[in-house]
Amino acid sequence: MTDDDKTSSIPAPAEPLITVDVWTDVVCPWCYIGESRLHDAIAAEGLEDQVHVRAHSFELDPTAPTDTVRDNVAHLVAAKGMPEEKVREMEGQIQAMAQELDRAYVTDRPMANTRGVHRVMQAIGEAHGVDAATDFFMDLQRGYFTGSSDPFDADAVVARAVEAGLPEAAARAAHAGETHDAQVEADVREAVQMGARGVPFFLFNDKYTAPGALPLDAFRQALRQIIDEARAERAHS
Amino acid sequence: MTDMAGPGASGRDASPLGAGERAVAADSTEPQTSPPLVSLTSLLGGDVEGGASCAADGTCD
Repeated sequence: MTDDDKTSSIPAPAEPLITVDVWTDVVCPWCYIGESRLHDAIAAEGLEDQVHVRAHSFELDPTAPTDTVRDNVAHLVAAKGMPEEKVREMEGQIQAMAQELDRAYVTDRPMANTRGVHRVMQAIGEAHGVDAATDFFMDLQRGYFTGSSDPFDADAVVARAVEAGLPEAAARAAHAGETHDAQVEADVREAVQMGARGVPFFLFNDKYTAPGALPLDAFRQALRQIIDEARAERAHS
Repeated sequence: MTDMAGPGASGRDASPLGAGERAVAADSTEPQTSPPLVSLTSLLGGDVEGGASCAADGTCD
């Protein structure tokens, strides 16, 4: 038997049984909570090898300024007219939920327009696939909420994109708006067509939609039911 | 607070992140190429409370 024969006799790894598409923004608190719960649910069910999570673009606030970075509290007070105490109360509640999930969560964060980061994610996806793009975006989101990275630091975002394999010039061009804006819009349009009015927005196996950060137990129950369905379909295909 | 519509659509290029033409809602009159979308909460028996989210105007639940 030649080496080629040996290789061809090795079965290809099966595709994951569950694909979860999540529309998300790097600065979205409930996205951070929801994705953390989903991640924990996947681990609790022992399905790490069976679930494929893919990130998609959705701007939390397309009207956020592109040329000014404020702190998140000041942004909501100034741009949305929310009372400061209400914003801080909301942030405190989400922080408590993050702590229940053993996740760090800083309540004072920078806030500005995230379109540039989305374009870079799209550029990475085009060059290196959805997993590289998802890793890039989720790392940036995690860093934002843990206070370890700043998605409004263009040089830092570009450096992270270069780590993901994107040439620096391509990363800067995307961040600056020269490329991949239409791809961001396509992602947003797709979510809106499915009924999304905010984020996070989850789509399981191209079939089951879930707006918002569901409770952990709901994610676990959903994964159990969907994987049973997927296994049955695969067995009969 | 979550009732704001998403941003308007423009541009026709497909996203490389796996986004493509998916099934529209079951009550659409357009031809469907895949099964209609179903609410996850209905799969779970309807007893599950919907998730909190952040609306497209930047405000969150």
